[in-house]
Amino acid sequence: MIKLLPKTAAAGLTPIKISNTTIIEIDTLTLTSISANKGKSEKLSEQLKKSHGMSLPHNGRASGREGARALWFGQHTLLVGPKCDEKLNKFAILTDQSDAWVVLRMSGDLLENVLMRLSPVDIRLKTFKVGSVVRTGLLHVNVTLHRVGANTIDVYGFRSMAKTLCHELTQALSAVAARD
Amino acid sequence: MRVSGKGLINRQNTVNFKFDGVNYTGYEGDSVASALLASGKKLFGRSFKYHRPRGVLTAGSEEPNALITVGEGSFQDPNVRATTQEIFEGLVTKSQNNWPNLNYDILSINDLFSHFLGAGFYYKTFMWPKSFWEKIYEPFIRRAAGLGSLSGLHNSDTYEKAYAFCDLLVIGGGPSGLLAAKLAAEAGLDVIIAEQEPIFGGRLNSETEQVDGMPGSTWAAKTIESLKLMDNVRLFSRTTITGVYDQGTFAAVERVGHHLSKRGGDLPLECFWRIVAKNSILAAGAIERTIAFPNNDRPGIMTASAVRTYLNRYGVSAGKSVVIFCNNNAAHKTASDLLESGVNVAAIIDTRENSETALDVPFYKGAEVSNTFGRQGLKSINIKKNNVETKIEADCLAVSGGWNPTVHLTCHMNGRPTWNDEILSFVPEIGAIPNMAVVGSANGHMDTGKCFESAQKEINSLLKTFGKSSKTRKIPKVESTKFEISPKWAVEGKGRAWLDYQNDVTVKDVRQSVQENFKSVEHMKRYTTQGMAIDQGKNSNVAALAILADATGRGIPETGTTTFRPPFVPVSIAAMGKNAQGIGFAPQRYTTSHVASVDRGAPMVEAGLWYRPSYFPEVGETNWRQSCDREIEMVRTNVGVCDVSTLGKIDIQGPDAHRLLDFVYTNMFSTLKVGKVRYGLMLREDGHVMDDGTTAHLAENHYVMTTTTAAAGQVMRHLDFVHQCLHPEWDLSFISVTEQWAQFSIAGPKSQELINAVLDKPISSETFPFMSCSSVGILGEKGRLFRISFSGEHGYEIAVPARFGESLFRLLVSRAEEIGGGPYGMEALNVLRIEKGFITHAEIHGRITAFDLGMQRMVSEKKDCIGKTSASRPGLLDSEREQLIALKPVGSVKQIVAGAHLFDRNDDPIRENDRGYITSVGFSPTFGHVIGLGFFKGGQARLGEQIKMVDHLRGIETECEIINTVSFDPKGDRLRD
Repeated sequence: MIKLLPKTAAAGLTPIKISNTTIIEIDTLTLTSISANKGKSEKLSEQLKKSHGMSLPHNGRASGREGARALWFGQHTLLVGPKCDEKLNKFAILTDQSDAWVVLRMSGDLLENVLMRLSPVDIRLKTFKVGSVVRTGLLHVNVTLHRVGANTIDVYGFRSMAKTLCHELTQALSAVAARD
Repeated sequence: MRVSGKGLINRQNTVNFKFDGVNYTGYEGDSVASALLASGKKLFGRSFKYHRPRGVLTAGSEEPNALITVGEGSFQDPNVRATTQEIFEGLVTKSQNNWPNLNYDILSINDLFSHFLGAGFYYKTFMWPKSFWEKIYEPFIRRAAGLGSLSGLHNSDTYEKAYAFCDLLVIGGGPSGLLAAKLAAEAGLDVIIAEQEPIFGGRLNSETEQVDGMPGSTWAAKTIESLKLMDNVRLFSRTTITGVYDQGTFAAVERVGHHLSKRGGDLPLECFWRIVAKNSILAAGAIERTIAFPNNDRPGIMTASAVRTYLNRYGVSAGKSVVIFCNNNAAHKTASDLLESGVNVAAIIDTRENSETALDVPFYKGAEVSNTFGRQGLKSINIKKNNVETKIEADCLAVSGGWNPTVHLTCHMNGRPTWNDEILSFVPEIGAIPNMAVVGSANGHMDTGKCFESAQKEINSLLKTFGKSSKTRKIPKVESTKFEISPKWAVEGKGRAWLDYQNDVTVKDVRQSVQENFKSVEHMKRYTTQGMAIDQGKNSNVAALAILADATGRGIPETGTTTFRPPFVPVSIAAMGKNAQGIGFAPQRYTTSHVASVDRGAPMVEAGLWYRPSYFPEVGETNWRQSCDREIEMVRTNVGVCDVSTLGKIDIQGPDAHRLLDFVYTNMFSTLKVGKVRYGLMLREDGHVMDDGTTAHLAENHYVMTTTTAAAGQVMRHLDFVHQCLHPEWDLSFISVTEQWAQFSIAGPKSQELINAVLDKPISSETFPFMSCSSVGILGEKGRLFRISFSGEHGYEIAVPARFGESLFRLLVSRAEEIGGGPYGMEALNVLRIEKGFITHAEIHGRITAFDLGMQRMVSEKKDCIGKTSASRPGLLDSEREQLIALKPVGSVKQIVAGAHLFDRNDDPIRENDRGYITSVGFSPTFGHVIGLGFFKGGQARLGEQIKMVDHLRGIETECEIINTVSFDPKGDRLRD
C-alpha cells in the first residue's frame, strides 16, 4: 500500500550554526492544544497531573519537564511531547496542533543577543527565567518563546513561516556574531 | 599641531586616512577633525548658502560646519560630522558643497551677492512666473545650496534593530552620568548607561580637572572599569539617545561599524535601539555657544571648550597663537591649559567689566571682538574697547558665549524649558518626562562638584522608590569654581555676524524676520531657517532667540524656544527601516505543496503573505492564458487539483459552539446536522459583509469554520471579540487550525474517482452527497473530507495533517494526470468562480452588504446576528444601491477590465454619471468571451440590458450586457451530481 511521506516544517532549513550558537528543529513532538471546559480548570489540572505528570502552568510559565511539558499558550495550554491522554477530554477541548507549529531550539552564548534584536521582550535570564513562556513577535512572525535552559530557548512559529523564521534568526545571528 | 604629553590618543598606533584625496596621518583615538587640525588643516568645508570657507567649530555632535562625506560608492555616507567620525586605517573622506574644489569654490560668488540672498530671498524672488518654480528655480536652488549627496547606488551596509530593558537608563557618560550609574548599580539596580562618544568621561576627558586626586579622565576610566565588572550594568558607548517616547521608551542609535574598516559584511553599521526604562537620568551635559560678532565664521574660530578638547583629549593645539573671547570665567581655563602646554595665548578678551585673570597674558576686560580677517583661515582680529580698535595676530580664536544645557530630550513630550538667569540659559522643566531626573550641567550645574551632588541627590531619591536605603554615599572630591557670566549675545559692527553656521543665518536675518513681522520664535525659525538641518541649532538656538527677544522688545523667557523634536542627532532611515529591506520586507508563508508546484514550473503569486501557484505551464505553452484556459477545460471535463490550505480554518468546539455560529453568521447554523456543511455570510457590526465561507459540522459540538485567505486573521479576531467581550458566558473554545491541515480542492467530473484512489474507504454520491463532511482515513492517516465546490463542478476538499501535505499533493496530481486531469492554479480558480458568480474579497471589499450581493434572503429572520440591525437601515436596502452584476461584451470591443467604471449606455462617461465599477474579470474559455463581475446601481433589476464600460486610464470603452451572475450551470446540477 502507498504511504504518505511526512515532511517536517523546517526540513532543509536547519541545522543552523553560527559561532557557537545553533538552531535545530525539534520535530518529534506531539502538540495538543488543551482548553478547559467552563469551570473545569482545577479538575483538568488534576487529570493532567495524573495523565502526564504536571499541573496546568501558570500564566507565562511552563510545567513538566523535557519530553512532557505543558506550556501556557494564551487562552489555551499546549501539551508538548506525549500523545494526549483521551481522559483529558472529560474536562477540556483537545485539538491536535502537532503540524501547526515549527519548533526551533536555539542554544548558545549568542542566544539572548540574537533574540533581543528580534523580539520586543526582556529576554535576559534574570527576567525571562528557565521555564518562562511568552507570546510575542519575532520581527515579522508571531511566536511563542519558551526558555528550556539557561542557554536554550524553544521558538514556536507558524509552520508556513518556517523559512522566514529561519531567515530572520540567521540574519540576526550573523550580525551579532560579526560583532565579536 | 600636536602637543607632546597631552591627549588620550594612542601615539603608538598611527592611522592613515584620506581627506579630499590627500593622505593624512593621525593616531588611534583621533577624530577626523582632530587629526586634520593636528596636520594644520583649517578649512573643512563650504557653507550652505554663501559657500563661505568654514573650519571646525566644535568637537562634538553639535558641529555645524565640518560636515564631510565618508566612504565611497555604495558605502558613501554624507553629512557626517568630522568631529564625531573616528579615523581608521584606509578611511576615505571628502569635503562637501564645493566645485571644483574646497579651496576654489566657484559658487562662493554667492557670498558677493549676500545682500540679495538674505532670509526670505527665495520666498520673495521666486514667486513668478508660477511655472518657473518646479522646472527652473527649484532645481537651480537645489544644485547651488546643499550639503552632501547620496551615491545613488543601493546601500551595501547592514543595519540592525534591538530592544533593551532596564531599571535605570543613564543618558550621558560624563561625570554626573558616571556617578549616577555607579551609585545606582552599587545599590543593585539594573542599569544601562549610554554615551555618544567612543570613551566615557564626557568633559572630564577634555579638561585638566582633578577628581578624587587624579585626572578626571583617569577617574572616568577607573569608574568604567568597576562598572564593567558588575553584571547589572550595561555600557553602551558610541550610542546616542535620540528620542523619548511614551511609557519610558527611548530611541537610541549605536554607531557599530562607523569606526571600522570592515564594511558591507554581516557587521551592522548602526543599530537602532528601543530601550524601555523604568527610570531615567538625563546627564547629557551642556553645549557651549558662541557670540555673534562680525565675521565670526572664519576657519580657526571655534568654541573655547572645543579648543580645550582638542588640546586635552587629542593632544592638538588648534592654533599657534590663540585668542580667547568670552563673557564668562569658565573660558579662561582654555588660556591656562594652552599656556601650560606651551601654546602662545595672544590675548584674553572678556566682555565683563569686572572680570579678572591671574594669567600672564594680555587681558582685555570689558572689550569685544569687532572684526576678524583671513579668508581661508583666521589671521588677525580687531579688539574694540571704548571705541578704540586694536588689531592682533591670531590663527585661532576660542569663543565662549556661555553654555546651553542639553535640554532637548526633556522637550520630546511637550516639555518647555525654563529660563535660568544665573547661567543665562534654559534649563529643563521639572517633571517634563515621567520618571526622568536631570542631573549635572544638563540641569544647569556648571561646576563638577555641583554636578556630582545633583547626581547623588537624584539617585538617593530614586533608590527610595525601589525600596532601597538612601544612605549617604561618598561622592568624589573636586575643586569647585563658581560659574560667572554676564550677557553678551552679539557685537554690533560692520560685517555679518553669524548665528547659525550650518544654515548661514546671521543676526541681520533674525532682525529682518522681525521687520517682516515673523516675530514668533517658530515663525522666525521658518523664515530664516535657523536651527534646521543636521545640527538642529544646538549652538545657535539660544543666541538666536536672544537676538529675537532684543529685536521684539520681549524678554528671553517670554520669547521661548522652538520645539525640540526627535531625533537628537541624525539617524539613518536604513537603521530605523532595518528588516524592511529586500527579502526582509515582509514574511513569506508557504503551503506544503510549494516545492512541488515550483518543481512543475508554476510562477507564484502573493495572496496576502502566502505564495500560491498562478498556473502550471505545460510544454509548448508560451503564455499564461494558454495554461489557464487548458486548466479550466481540464476541471470542467476531467479533474483538477488545487492547494487551498491558505484559507482560514477555525476549529470551534463546545456545547455553545452553535450559538456562536448563529450569532456571527447571518444564516442559521444551529439546524446544521452532523456530517453537513453550510455556506455562511458574516457581517460586521455596521451591517456590511466581513467574510464568507463554509462551516462543517464534523461531530457533536464540533465545527470547522472556513474563512477566506484574506480575512482569516480578521475573522479570528472577530470571534475572539464576540466570545470574550459579548458572550463570555458561552462554553466553547476555538482555535486556528489553518497551519495544522493541508487542504486540497479536487474538482471536476472525475473528482470522485480521484478521491477514492486515496481514501481508505471509498465514497459515492449517495453516501457522500453535496455539502457532506466527515473524518476519513487517507492512506492510513487521519484526514477530513468535505464535499464542497468553488468551481461549480462536482468537487471535494480533502485535508491531511500538514506534514503529509506535499506527499498527498504529489500523489493526487500524479493520479489525476493518469485520468486526464492535473493541477490548476489561481488564474484558473478565479475564472472558474467568476463563471459561477462566486464572490471573493474583490467583491466583498468592505462597502458591500448582503442586499448588494443579492443575498438578502440569507439574513435569517428567525434569529439575531451581528450586523443585522445595521444592515436593515433603509439606506442599505435602497434599490438604487450598487448591486452585484455580471457582464459580457456585446459590441466590437471585447475587453472588460477590472477597475473600469460603468455608465448607462447613452450617458457621457463622466464622474457625475458613474453608476458602478468592475471588480473581477476573466476570460471564460467555456463561453468564449470575457466575463466581468462588478457593481451597478440598481443592477439586479436590469438583467439583459446593455450598458457601457469605460476605462479612462487605459482608454477602453466596451458595450456590455448585464447577464446572470451565475453564467455556468445556473441550476447547480453539476455540483450535486
